Amino acid sequence: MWTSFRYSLLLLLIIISSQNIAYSDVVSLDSNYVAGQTDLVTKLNNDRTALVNGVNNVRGCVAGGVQTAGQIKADTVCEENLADDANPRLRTYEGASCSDFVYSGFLMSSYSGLTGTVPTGIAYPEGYRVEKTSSTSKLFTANKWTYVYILNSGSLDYQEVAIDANRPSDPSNSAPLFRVSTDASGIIAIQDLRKTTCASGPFEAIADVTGEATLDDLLTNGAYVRRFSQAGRTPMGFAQGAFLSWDTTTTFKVTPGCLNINGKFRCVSTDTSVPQTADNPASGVSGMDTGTVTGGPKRYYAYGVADQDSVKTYSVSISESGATPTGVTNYRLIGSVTTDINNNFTSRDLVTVHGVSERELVGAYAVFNGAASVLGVSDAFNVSGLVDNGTGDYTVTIDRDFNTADFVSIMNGKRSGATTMLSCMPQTLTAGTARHNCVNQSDAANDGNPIMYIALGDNRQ
Amino acid sequence: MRKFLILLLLISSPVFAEIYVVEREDGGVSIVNYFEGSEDSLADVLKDNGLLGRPIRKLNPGDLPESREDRKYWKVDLVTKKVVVDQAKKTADQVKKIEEEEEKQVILDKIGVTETEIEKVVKDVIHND
Repeated sequence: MWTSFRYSLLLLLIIISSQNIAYSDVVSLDSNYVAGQTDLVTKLNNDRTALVNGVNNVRGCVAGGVQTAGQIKADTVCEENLADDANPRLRTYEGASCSDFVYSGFLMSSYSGLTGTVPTGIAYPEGYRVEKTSSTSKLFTANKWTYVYILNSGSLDYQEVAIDANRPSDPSNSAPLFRVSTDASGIIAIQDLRKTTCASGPFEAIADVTGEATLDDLLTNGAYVRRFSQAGRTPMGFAQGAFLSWDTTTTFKVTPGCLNINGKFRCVSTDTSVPQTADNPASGVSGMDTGTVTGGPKRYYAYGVADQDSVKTYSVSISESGATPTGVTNYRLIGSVTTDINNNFTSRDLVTVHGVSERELVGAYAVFNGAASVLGVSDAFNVSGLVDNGTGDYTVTIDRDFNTADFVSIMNGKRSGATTMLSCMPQTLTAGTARHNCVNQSDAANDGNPIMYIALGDNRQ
Repeated sequence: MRKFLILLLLISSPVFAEIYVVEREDGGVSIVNYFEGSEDSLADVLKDNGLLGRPIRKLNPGDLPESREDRKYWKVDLVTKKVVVDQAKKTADQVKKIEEEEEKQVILDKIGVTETEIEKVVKDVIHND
């Protein structure tokens, strides 16, 4: 009796413990134990062996569908119980810690006419790993912008819009790859839209409070002190610093700054020297996009370029084109520089599209009563002195001098004791002073109240 | 009204200037208003205006004539060190002007035309030129 009880207890423990270890399916056991039967020990040993084999050979699936031992019951493995490195919705393998990451390939570089080849690659649209092992030929529509995506189904998707139209909404479960620009006869430009790193982002996931504007919103939206300049319309998106600055007749500089260039955020901490020699965007070399500087006087457009991978800096390419530099994929208009008849860079008309240079601002001004014994000065800017030389004869002394005496100096006012205008002509201009003589309609020297003065010019320090 | 004036004083922002008189080489005087707090020094302002090295004296606002009517006769009084109207020069100018007018009238009488007629002729010539 005691022996039978011990066997039963052992069998119960084996069954309970095996259920706690694994949820195996289809494990066959001997059965029908009968008290006192002679082969009871054999049966129990057979069952023990079957249970041990079943537990030790639990498998998610069996090659060829032939089950030789324990197997997890079909449709019982749920995604939430999988480890992070195995979960299909949370792929961190190959650096894909963000959605829509492109690990390799998928940037078209081979094309002829309107036909291009989308190369192989690995991407994670919506976090699902997709690998295409063969390239795909595509005939693009003429005179269009075509946005190319990889879907999590493994298919490519193409969204066409008119040239210069807004970017369409991304298709469901897709990762953007690039934009193809075509003219009537062929493909003329490829713009890289791939998200090739998730190292510190993505920016669109960084926000102070869920649902509020993200860092990506900050970097990609917003206008600046002006929307238009002589170099054209200021692009949207973050730009700080990166001012164009004249250097020599054959190079100009772009000051340190940060630019959001086609979704790539790049910063430079030192001056970028831009020569008239050829650029190499993929290597971060600044210069001319194509050809040479010739045919001056001419305006050249400067672009911040982010075509070099695995760096946080930008290079600068200059181009005759105000819209599309040649041989550059990720670019942003930052300004323009002009050349003279000898094809030398000039400091005149040096423009930064996202900023206002000192030459575009008022250099000095003053408002004063020129008819009082002690000239009453109501307000002034960048003026260190005002000299009363005599009737209607005033000299304004500029505090921080202009770089040249060739600045615009305007003085005017109302004739003292009358309602007529006073005309004040410049008599002597130096970089630091402007002497004006004011006369009435009879050309006689006359004091004025108020007298208004303003000066504009090259006051770069 | 008083409140308004007080408010006006509070919100107005006049530029404070030190006042100097400089005697020029041509005998006249320049009144230099130097704006305190400028990057330029007083010497810089004087130099920029070609007045450095000339006799200079700091003034109070009351040290200048009340009116600028006789601005071209201003000079520094050697005794009071204030800026005053040079009455002798003004009188001499007035006498000279009267003499010139008298000479002009003699000529006009000789040729038998008035000054208005001459002005009209000159004006027509200029317009038809």
